[in-house]
Amino acid sequence: MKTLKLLEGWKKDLSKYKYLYIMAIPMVVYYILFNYMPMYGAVIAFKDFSAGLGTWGSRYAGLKYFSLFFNDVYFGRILRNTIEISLLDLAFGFPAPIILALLINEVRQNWFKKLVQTVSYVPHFISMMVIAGLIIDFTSRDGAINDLLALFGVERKTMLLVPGLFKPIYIISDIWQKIGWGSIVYLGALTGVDPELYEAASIDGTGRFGKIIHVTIPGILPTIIIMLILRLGSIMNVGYEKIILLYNPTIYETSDVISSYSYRMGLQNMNYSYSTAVGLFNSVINFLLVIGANTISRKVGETSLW
Amino acid sequence: MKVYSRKSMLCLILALALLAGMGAMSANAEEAPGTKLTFWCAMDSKIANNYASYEDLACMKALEEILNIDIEWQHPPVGEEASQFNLIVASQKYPDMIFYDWVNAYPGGPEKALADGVIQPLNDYMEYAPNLQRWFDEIPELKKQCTTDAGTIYMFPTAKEICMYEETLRKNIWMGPIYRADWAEALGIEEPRTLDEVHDMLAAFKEEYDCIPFTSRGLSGGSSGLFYIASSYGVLADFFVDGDQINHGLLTPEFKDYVETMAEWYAEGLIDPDFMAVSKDGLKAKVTNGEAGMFYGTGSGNWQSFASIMATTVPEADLEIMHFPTGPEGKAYTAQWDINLIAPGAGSAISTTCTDIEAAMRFLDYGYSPEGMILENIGIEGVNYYIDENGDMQYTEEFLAQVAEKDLSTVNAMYVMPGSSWSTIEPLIKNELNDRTFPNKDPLADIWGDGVSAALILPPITATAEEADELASIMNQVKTYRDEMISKIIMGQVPFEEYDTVVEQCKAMGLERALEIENAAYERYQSR
Repeated sequence: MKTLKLLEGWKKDLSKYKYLYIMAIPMVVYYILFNYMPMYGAVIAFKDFSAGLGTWGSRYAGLKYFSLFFNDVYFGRILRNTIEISLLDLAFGFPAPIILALLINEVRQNWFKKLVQTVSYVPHFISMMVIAGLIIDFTSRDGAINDLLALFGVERKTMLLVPGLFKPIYIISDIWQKIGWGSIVYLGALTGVDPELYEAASIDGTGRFGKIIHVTIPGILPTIIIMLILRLGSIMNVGYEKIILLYNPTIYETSDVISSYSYRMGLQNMNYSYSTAVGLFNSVINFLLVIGANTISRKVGETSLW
Repeated sequence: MKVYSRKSMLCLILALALLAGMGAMSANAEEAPGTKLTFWCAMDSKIANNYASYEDLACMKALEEILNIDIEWQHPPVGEEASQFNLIVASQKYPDMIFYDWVNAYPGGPEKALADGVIQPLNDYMEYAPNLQRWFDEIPELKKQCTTDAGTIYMFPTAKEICMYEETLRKNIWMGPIYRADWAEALGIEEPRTLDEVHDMLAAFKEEYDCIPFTSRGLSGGSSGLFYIASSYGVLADFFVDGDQINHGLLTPEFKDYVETMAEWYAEGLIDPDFMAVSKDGLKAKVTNGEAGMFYGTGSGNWQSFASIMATTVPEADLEIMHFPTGPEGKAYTAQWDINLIAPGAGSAISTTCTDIEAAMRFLDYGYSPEGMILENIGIEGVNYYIDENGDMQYTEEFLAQVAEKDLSTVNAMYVMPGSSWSTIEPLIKNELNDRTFPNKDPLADIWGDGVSAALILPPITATAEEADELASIMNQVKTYRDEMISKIIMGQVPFEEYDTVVEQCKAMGLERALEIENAAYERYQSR
């Protein structure tokens, strides 16, 4: 009886929104085909993968590749570096686009607003190879940053050879790369803030700064929280491209992360099982972080992903 | 429902038609009657400039005629070779023959490819390959390099005859030290032949010019790493052949001397202070701006191409190659990884789904017969070469006219198979022909190859499947630690006294166990 009712309701729903459903089909197919179907491949993390035998045919190896990874001398160091870089990026890189969006929002001159936005989007469209080349040039012994520091009597040095400087270079350049593009979503949210609230605040005698604190920020807070939860889902993913393009053995102690280390390991013997095990480990941690953050957010505030 | 039925039917029909079409296509690819064979092979980039397929090459047309075999070539798009290969392996529908680097590019090496059921053991069919068999009998080292530890012959190798004989080995050299001969001459210094003389030259460079006396791309970047100097001490920074067994640089006193010397050079300012952060382009910039006094590099990519750039940027410069400096022992060694590899790893194998193994064997074997080696490497008589009155081989005038316009390798790519990536033996007569036709075109062999020993270089040994993971895991840790600590010691960030602790730490990571695995693999290789 109940199922019949459900079916009835479903049918009604289907006929009512048929166009929407039809339009959704390609996206659903896309996700099933390219995001869900390949997930079964994660099983090779527990197998001795051999291309000839295929994903199912390969023999089970148990937790061999996980224990290789966990028992590695460098496991602690690369885990620490990964989390440190991620958290620093979260602490400095996450608020940066929000601040930029708030600042742009306060600008009254329209041409200036457009200019700032366009200029800050540019790095997003530059390929990582070029970005890394720029960073290496700027931080080299005869690069722009050293030229500037030399004016103040600081000794010239190649900054990418100093272990302590790697993380700041990575984070600052990351902010530069992502600030403009990241601000778009907040600028979008800002247009959704009710103008009447600003008027009411003006009547109450609130200044510009007060309006930001009491009207603007609360207005975009749900967006900020959603973005934060999503961001937590990539804590373990410090991409290897930028790291590998920038690091060198002298600064391994601060720059070697999980992805770069397993890249070197994988490159040596094309061990797909090993890299899948590392990837699976990262995904599980990320998944738990997202669930945790979402639960906390739902308990504390009203905003959550689900 | 009624409204949409016609349209949805149409969609369905179209989709089915598409599926049916795909089915028909794959059915076509599967049939291979008689002596029609399929061949999967990545195309040489120079040949791809002129032709869409190897079947258009004159030498292949001639070959198909001689053997009465019709080859259907399957070429992956340039740049997608590895992923296309993986797709073929995963689909388990193999072409009859596959050309690939089984030793270095197939995960797990040839043993794995055999165990995976991709390629066919050839031992039982060697009667169809008398020419290759003759080479195997003549040059046992070649056979070892095309055989697994278990004794299975698995491929028709890409090989060079110059690597087979001690006296021609030097012709295979392509990397070594390069220096600013004009600076040395201006300072009245003759080409240095020992490490001490190199040191004095670099010190003089530093004194006289505002320059970086010696630069390198980190410790092991490309062919320009600082570790290449270690070969003057008769050791390598990795595994190397030490007499009748394998040793690792970190376990030798000579390597310690090397590190100490490098730390001294660095402290004296002879080594680029930024050497650990020098990229490929960085090296190019430093050399072609006229800043660098000496470095290691390749003959064509680093020496000739840099020199041609410097003709405009630093016209007075004279960039020259120099002899490998001898170390304390008075001997010079090369660290070029493939110097003595007759068959570096690539070759044609026959797949397990091959429809006519005998025909495939006959086709591949032709490249190892005297006439096949000439056809596939030099070309066709009357078109590419002729035999002069003395019985010597000479290039034809039309051929030489084309070479004068372009260059030898470009013109060769219009006629013959790529010697470096095709299953044949590049014959000695080709080198002789080139030497005769283009005298003084081979300074690499005459200077880098002069008196240098290839004794340190490992043959292509393979660990067993069980040991491979362990070896990779140990060596990944050791290399990470070695590169980090050795670079810091050389740069003076860590005192040299720490060197022994570094070695101890590497041993704790399992370096000795890794050496055991390597030695066992070396023994199995020797008894192949």
